[in-house]
Amino acid sequence: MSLLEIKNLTVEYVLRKSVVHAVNNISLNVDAGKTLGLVGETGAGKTTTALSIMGLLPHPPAKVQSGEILFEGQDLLKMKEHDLENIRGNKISMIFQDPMTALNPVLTVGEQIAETFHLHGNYSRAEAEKESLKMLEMVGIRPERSTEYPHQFSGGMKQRVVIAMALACKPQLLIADEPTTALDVTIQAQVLELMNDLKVTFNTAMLLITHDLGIVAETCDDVAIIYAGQLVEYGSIEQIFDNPLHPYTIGLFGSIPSLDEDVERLKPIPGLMPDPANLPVGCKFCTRCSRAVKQCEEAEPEYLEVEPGHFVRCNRIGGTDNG
Amino acid sequence: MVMFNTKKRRRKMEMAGVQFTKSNSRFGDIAARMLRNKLGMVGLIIIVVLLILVIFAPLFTKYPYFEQSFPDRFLYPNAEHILGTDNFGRDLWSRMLYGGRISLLVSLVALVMSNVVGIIIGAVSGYFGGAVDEIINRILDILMSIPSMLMAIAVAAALGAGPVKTSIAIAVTGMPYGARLVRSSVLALKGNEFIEAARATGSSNLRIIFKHVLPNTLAPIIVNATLNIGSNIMAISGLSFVGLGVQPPTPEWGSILSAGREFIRDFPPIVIFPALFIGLTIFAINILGDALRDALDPRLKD
Amino acid sequence: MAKYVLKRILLLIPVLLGVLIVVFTITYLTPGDPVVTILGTGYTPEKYVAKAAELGLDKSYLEQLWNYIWHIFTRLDFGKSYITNVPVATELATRVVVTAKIAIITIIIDVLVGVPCGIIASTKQYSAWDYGFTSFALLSSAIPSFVIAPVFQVIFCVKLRWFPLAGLAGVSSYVLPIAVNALGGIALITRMTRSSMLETIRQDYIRTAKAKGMGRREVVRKHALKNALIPVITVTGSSFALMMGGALVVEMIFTIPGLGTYLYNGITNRDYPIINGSVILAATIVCIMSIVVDITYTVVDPRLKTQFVSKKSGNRRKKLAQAGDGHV
Repeated sequence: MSLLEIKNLTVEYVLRKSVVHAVNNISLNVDAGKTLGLVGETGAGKTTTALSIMGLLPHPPAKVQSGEILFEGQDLLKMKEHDLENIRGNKISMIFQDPMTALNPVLTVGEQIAETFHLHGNYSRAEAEKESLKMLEMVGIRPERSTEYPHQFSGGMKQRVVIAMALACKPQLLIADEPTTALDVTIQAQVLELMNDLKVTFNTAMLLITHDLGIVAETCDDVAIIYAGQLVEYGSIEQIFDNPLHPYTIGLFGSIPSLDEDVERLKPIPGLMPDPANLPVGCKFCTRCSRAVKQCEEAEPEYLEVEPGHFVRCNRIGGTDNG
Repeated sequence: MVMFNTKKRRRKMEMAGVQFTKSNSRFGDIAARMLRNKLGMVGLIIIVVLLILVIFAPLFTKYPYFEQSFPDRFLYPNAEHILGTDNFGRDLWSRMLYGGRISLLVSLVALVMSNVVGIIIGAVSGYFGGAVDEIINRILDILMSIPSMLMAIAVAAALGAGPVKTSIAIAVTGMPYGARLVRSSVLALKGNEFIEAARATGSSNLRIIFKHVLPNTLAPIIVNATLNIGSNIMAISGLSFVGLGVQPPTPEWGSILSAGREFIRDFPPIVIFPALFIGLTIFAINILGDALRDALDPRLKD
Repeated sequence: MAKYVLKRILLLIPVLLGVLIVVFTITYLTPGDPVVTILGTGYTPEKYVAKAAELGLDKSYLEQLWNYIWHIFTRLDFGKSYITNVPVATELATRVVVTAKIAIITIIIDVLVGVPCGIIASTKQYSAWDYGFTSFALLSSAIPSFVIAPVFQVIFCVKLRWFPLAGLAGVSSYVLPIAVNALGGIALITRMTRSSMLETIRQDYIRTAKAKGMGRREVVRKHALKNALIPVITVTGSSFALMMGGALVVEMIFTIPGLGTYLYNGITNRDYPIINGSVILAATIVCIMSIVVDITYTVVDPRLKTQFVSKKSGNRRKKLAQAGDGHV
């Protein structure tokens, strides 16, 4: 049994005039101690997936239409709010995209970290404080800064604080929602390294949400590619990086500059993601796909296992036409 | 003049295929959001109905507002006098409608005066900055540190009573707030690139202020102005109430209320109806202003 | 911190000086002759000249202004009432206590009632509570105190006979004036707390707190409240200013011997020293209140507090204040 199993999750945002299909029938597994990369463009449904695991979807307008999210075999979606609170920040925790706004401006960073200890486990005030100093040290911040306020920290340092908060209770699962996107490139590398180290130290499984395949290559064991709320390709890192099958995945690789190859131009994927409130009937990617045929517009492709553990959702794969 | 030129140029550009979809759809968005806001619509309807009643008062009233009739004193609402009569036997309904004319007109005149002056001062202060800004700001500080009701009283006491003087007193009181608002919006705008661009292409200061800066500060000005109508009505009534605003026999909601106060124990309608009109108008304007603000505030989109 | 307070107090002087000049000038420009007001009809030219000289009204505008300011700053002398000949300062001193007592109790009630109402309305958005409090706030901010006061008088004094109709005698006589005064402030603070809370609840750090596993109530109490109350402080300050203006009407209706009635007497008798003195005193109180508000800010908001430690505090604070102007 996996640590986290998402089965056929469908999430919609019900707005006044339209229904946004943010996540459509997604299934994922994260094994204990392993890292799954969830890769996709902005608006593909990555954050929605993450928030539904945490039970923090803004409701209304978000609504989980169907599916199960099994954590250690228990369905988080059916759990009582009080039990969820015991899991959040304790067994599952989350790192948010923007460290600038993720910390409360009127509480010291020490207080904010200590809070996590206080909430989960029987720590006295003094003990929680002591633990929070340890955490700060672990993420590379001098403990004496614990009495400072978030605005006295740089972006990278704030993200370290957020990481310290998230890892405080040594969670089994860490959800990292684009943890480095808002940071400078040099800081990005430091923060990633820190996360990787701590992950190993605490043996934490991670769901890493990103749009950066470089980060995926460095940290992940498995990769799920999400497009317009659907998984289009899913497999181990080797399978995806060595043998990408879905045109979208191939397109993603084509749009990153590479140092090893001498390419004339990058090949960006043309066009934009379809409006999630008005998705095409057939393959969601067909409007941007260079290999689309009539069939793609008409029928939604099946999600097929092309080799053990490697799934692809494309009409042009698995049949005769495979090149 | 400036406006005219802009319109002409815009039409030309439109003919050339340049579309102003952005601003159009923005206006559409605002209108749509406005229409969705039920409370705001209630406010708008109340105000429209009030305006129609007040502007076309002669059509809706049977008695002149000044006609006294001794035997008809202190009549409770009936078929003949729908709101009853006052201590002189004057028809309260007529007095309400004609009184509303004064209340609304004085409020609007004060609004226009305070906003025109406030916008100019605020724009100059924010746009030029430096010593000009510093001086204007200190003066505004001084004016704003006097509670507005007391300021209005002091000015009204100096000017004397009467509709025009009352509106000046209220305009003087409200001006600093409008100026501050415009100033801070101008300050926020000033750093924007399109202002820099206009300056780089050699536009004059006046032109930049009127063409580029002020149109972009319109949203807060409109919201502020709307809410001001309400506070102005309250201020006028307040002034009339202490005997400094509009004097009897000219009907004005505040002065009617004030004059009727001595009869409140035995004949409540004489106080209740003007109070109702004042309250209803301010209430309607407040909810309309709130709705406008929500519609114009992009942060609250959806 | 002490330095900041001192600086603010020093900055108060030019503002108050400005207020003095403005108020004095307004009444100076007022048509009508105070000497005639005092002497009434049937005075001789000699009497007129003597009276004018006694009051210093024969001097030029600048000289009069200078004397007025000089007397206030050196001797706290606001002149004498034209009618009663009692020094204005003496009257102000006794009356301000009455007004301040009512004002301070009112503000405390405003906050104690308004903040919880706002919090309940925002945490239970779109519930019956929310609609209830919001419409109460909208209604009571639409009804002027001079409307509410007589209505309360009729209900509670005439019909129910719970409280005395007018005057100040015992605790019960304070109830209605304070109630009338408080309504507007409660409405203002409720609305502000509600909208500020709604905005705060949407912030990312609230989500972070929830992600830590904190319960809803605790998130509100520990994370949202402190942030949301910062703008409420401003509104509390401005509702105090509003009240100083409103005191006039309320005191007049309930015949309370405070600043308001004094000012009203001044207005009806065209007794300018009284008008000037009352307005200036009210403005001073409002200014001091705004300093208190600013100091409270720095205590509550660590972003401001740390700026005092850093060297360029003045400039940055000013910028922050300017940026905040639009929201006030």
